[in-house]
Amino acid sequence: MSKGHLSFLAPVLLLTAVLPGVFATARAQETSAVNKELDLKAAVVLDKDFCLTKMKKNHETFEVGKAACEIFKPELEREFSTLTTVGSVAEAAGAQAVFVPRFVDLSATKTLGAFSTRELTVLLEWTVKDSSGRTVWIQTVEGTGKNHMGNGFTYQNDLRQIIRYALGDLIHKSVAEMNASRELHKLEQKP
Amino acid sequence: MPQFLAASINVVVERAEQLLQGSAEMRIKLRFDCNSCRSRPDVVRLGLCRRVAGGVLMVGSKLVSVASLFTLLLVACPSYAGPTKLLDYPPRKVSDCAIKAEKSGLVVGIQPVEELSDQKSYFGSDLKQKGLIPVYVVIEDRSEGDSFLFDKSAVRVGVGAGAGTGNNVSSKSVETLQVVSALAISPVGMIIGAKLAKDEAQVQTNLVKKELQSKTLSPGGSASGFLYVSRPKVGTRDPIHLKIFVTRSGDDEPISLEFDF
Repeated sequence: MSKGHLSFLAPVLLLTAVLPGVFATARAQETSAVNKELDLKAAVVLDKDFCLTKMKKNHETFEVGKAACEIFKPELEREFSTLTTVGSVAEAAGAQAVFVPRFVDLSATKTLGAFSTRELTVLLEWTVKDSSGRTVWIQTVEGTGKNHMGNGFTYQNDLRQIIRYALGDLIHKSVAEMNASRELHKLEQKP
Repeated sequence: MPQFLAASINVVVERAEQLLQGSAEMRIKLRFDCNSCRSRPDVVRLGLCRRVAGGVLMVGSKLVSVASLFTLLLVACPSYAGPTKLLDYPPRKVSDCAIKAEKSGLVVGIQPVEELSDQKSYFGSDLKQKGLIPVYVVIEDRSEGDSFLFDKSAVRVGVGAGAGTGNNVSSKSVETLQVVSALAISPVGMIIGAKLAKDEAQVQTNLVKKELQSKTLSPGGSASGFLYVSRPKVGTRDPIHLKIFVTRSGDDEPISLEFDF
C-alpha cells in the first residue's frame, strides 16, 4: 500500500520540479522574441586597452576587461543585423554606428564570512558615434553580480565568477537600453 | 551587565589616514552607547580613547585584554551592524530643487545635501569629513524633439562664485580603506577592521550607485543622481561654481548651464 502511494507521488513530484522550469523557459523565449534586433551595420571597439582593463578597489583587483571581451561579442552579435569587432574607431569605416565601451567605476561589498554573498557593481559607459564621427548616443549601464566572498582557497575562482555574473547582467541591460533607444533606431534610417 | 550586553556599540576610527601616515600608533575610539541605559549614566557610559599597542587596549590604569574585548565584541555586538539600511534619496523634480537653470529646452535643478542627518541617512557617512558635498542633480529634456547627451566627464567645478573651469567633479567614492590594513595588526583590529571594511565597502557601493552618470536624454526624459564635489574637510567652504555641459545628439556644439551655491 505504501509502495503504491510512493509510486503515485513520484511522478507528481517530478512534474512539480520540472514544470516551473518549462514555464520559465517559455517566458524567457517569449521575452527574447519580443526584443527586436537593431537593423544596423554596427562595429564595436574592443581594443587591447579595454580588454586588458583591471580595476583596483579596496585592495582587490578585478580583471573586468578580459571577461568583458569574452562575454560582450556574442551577445552583441545577436542584437545587430551586422556586427564587426574592431581594434579602434578608425578601423570601423563604413559602419552606421560605432559602439565604444568604457569602464567607469566598480564597487564591491564585502562580507565577514566566506560563504556569505557579496555584490559586485560594474558601471560601463557606451558611446555611439555615427558614420560621420559625431556622438549620437551615450549611456551608462550598471551590471550587478552576486557570489560568495570565498575563502583562501576559493577566493580567486569566486572573484572570476562574480565578475562574469556582473558583466553578463551588464550586457543584457546594455542590449535592452540599445533596443529602447530612439536615437539608435533613428540611425537605422541613415545609410 | 545584561543591559550592558544589550547595548549597541559604535566603533569609530578617527583620522586613521593621518595616523597611518604618521606614527604606527593607532587611536581607536570606542563609544559604548547603551540606549536602554541612557537614564543611568552610572551604569553604562564609557568613552574610551586610548592607544592600541601590541594588541592591548589601555584604559586608564586598567588593561583590558584582547581576549576579553574580543568576547565582548562577539557577545555584545549583534546589534552593531554599521550602515545596513541606507535610504534612497527621494527623487525630485527640477521645480523641487533649490537652484535651477534652463536653456534650449533643457531644465536642470540642483540640490546640495549638506545636512549631516541627511548624509547619514542617504550615504551612511559624514561626507564632509571625507571632503565631499553630495549635490543632487536632475536634468529634464523638455524640448519638442531634441535628444541631449549629458557627459559626466565634461562637468566642471570651480571654487568661488563665477570661477571658470576648474577641476573635474569628483567621481569617486572615498578611499578610506587603508585603515583596514593597519588595523589588522592586532587580533581585535582584525575583527574591527573586517567589520569596518564591510561597512565602508557598503558605503562606497551606495555612493557609486547614487552617482549621476552619463546618459542620453530623449524628449520628455530625465536623468538624476549625485555629483560628489570636493570641499575642505574642516571649516566653512567657499562658494562653489558648477558648470554642466550638454550637447544635442549628433551635434558637437556644447550647451552649458552654470550654478553657484
